[in-house]
Amino acid sequence: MHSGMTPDRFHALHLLAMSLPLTAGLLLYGWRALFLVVCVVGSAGLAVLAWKRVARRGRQIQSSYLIGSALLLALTLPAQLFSGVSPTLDSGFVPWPILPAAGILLVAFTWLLGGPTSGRVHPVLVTHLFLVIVFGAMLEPSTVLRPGAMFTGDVLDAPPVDTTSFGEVAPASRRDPWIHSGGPDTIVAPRADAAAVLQPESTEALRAEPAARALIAFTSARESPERAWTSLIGLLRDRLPPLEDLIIGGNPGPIGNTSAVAVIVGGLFLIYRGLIDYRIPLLILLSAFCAFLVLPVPVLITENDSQFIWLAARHADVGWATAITFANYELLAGPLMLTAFFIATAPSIRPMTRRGRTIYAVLVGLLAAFFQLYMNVSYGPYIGLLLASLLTPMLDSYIKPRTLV
Amino acid sequence: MNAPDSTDTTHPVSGATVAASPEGVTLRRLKFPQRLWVPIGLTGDASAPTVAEGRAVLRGDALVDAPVVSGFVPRAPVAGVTGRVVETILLGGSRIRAMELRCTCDRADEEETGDVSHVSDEQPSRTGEGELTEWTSRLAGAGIWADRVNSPDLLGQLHQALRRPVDTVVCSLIDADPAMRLNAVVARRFAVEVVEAVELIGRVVGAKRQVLAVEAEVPQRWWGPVRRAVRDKSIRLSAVHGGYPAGDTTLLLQRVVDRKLRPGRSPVEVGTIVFDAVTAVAVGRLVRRGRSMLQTPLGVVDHRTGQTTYAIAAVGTRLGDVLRELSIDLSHTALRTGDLLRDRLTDEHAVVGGGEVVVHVTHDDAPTNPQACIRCGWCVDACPTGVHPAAVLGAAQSLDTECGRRFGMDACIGCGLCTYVCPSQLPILHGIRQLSQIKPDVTIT
Repeated sequence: MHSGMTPDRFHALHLLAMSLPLTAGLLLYGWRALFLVVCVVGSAGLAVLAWKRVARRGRQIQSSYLIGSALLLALTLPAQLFSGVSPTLDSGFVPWPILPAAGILLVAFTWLLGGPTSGRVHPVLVTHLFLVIVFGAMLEPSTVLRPGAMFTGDVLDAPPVDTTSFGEVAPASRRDPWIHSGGPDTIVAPRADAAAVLQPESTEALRAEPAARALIAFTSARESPERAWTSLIGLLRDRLPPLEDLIIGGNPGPIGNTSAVAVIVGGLFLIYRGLIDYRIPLLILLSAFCAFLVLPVPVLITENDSQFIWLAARHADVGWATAITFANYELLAGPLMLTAFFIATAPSIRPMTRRGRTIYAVLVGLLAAFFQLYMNVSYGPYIGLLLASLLTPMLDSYIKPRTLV
Repeated sequence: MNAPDSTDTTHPVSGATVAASPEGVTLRRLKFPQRLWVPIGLTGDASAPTVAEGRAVLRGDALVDAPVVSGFVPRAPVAGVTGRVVETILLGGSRIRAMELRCTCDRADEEETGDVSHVSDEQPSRTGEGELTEWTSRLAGAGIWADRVNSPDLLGQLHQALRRPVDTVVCSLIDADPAMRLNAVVARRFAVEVVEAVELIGRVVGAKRQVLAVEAEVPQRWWGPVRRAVRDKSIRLSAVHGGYPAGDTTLLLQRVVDRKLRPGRSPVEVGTIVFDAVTAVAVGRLVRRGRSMLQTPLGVVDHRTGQTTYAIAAVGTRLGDVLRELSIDLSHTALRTGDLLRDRLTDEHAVVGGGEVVVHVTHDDAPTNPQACIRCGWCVDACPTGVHPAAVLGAAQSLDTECGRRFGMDACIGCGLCTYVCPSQLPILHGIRQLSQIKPDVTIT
């Protein structure tokens, strides 16, 4: 007497849910994103065939699980990696071999960590963070296809990087939402002396500073202001893209994380089918949102000093509207949504009891917010999740079920 | 047999198209087989000496020679000749002692022709505890007994009620299986008897509250006859939500009267008496017409064809005889009693009596090879009593009863939902059952 569900169908439904952010990513980043996914998933698939023969642990590796994990890993990577030209470094390093290496590494880490359900560390997190450590800046995207060149365009066919007279890379931000950027785009480069930089219509992609980079530069107070001072309001007004770009799509980012709507709809599908517990993404996002409002952030950065204030909304120059807008940007700019719906809910790393999941989700949200504010927006949530998932065995052991009788 | 109608539905477990409504259903009276195996007591129980082998008895005659100290008085469902006493199994799995009865007729007369002097039309002269004692004795004397998952040992409850106060009587009319509406069918057909049974038991135990529990999700018109019967009485109808396994005693008491009862314990411990519609009908027939429990309603669902049959079978009929009379092919089948998901397998030698009254006929299951647990947590989410089934299964693998208790093993009602939802097809229910049977001091690490 059985419901008919099998582990393969279970993982297949996860794949189905991931197809939504994947589709959004393919539309925004074109054929390079497609080939990136094929490369990572394909290499993982081939690696599985080999690793299944390695010791008894290899027999526990389920192909359907690994394919899903490989797709998830691919969604955390930028499309520009599928390239024969280094996008950010002047060296002769060619980035595309990173992709098959990532797929193989994923399988190897899965095996090392004890298989799909034994380990308490998600292999996708470990693999991605390994790639960040080794390849760092190459994982930062800065281009996205124009609306008129969706899916078919080349995401690397973008205007060259603008530099100021000081030789620094000029971050470029757009005033209009991406969805309206059909023709020549006028942008403001705050660092440049020139007032405007044009993005010629002949290119298929637009170049823009990822919101994640602008946010971490500000909240970590690592960059000194280009003028005498910079404020939180100034950051939101001048340097960050319109919020629509983070919600619908259009801000450069990893393939699967660019459209919050796609991620949320995919997550809702998982909740509807009962594959994930709604508490986890809900509490992660809520606790992270509250943490973004409460944790100290700079409200003013001068050349010599940074003024950090906790609960920034109470500052006279900030107010609740600005603070909430800032928190919204933090929620959407990084991979927090993707983490909350697709990674943190993985059966191998989340507790099995409801109370355990509640504690776990709040912890993930708080840690993700902390690392996102002070370390890096692009991978802070991954570190937060990695640390919180280490507590899962303890939560499973010590939280006894509350039985009816 | 039910004719298909607009309320046909797809069975959620077997996928067969089954009739879901009790309206228009008839109870088919089965012919007596050549031999009956009349239950005379549980194996190991001390019981009164039985009548000698080879003695001719009439319908309703007692099959014991001396008064019974505890338990019921077994009575001959039909005229026949007594045979040997054997050990067999009851529908539901309990091992029992049964007396063979070679039948000398194949159908029951409308009126009992045997010795019914044990049943009096006079009302008991005593009240209070005396009335309870007298009615308990009358019920036992009429061979009325019930001991199944959704209707615990009635006589045992009444005996306990002599020592503990009872303030609530709950009669469950709930059928958790959409293909098997036996309680509803019986309650509609014998609504007056059901109500009189509840009234009687409520009165003799001194209960302030008398409740008929019905399912909230079914059409109200199904309970029309019951509603009419309880008009102007102090019995109330209580609608219970939740689907399977709402009829389980533990869940029923929690949802109807908000009392917590450990699985396997007597409801009297929490001041209630619980029984189902089938039991109520047996009691009601005694109250209204002085009839003993010589037959019992029975429900058979053939999931292979979607056919549901509601029948009345003589106590002591073998399951194989029932199925053969219903023209149900027994080859390559699995037979289960009670709720389908509880997975209580039986065979055609099991005997009809006060045990389970529902039989499910399915295809013979091919053995499955479970896969590793994927920690989906569906078993935890599905468990209606908050047990952590996956952890208890882990404890069962190492025979660690302490760990099993820590994760709620004692609260398991055996509904089988955990096994049903598990994608890896792990034998969770069987693991929990095995662990529950181990004595606490045995732990293998």
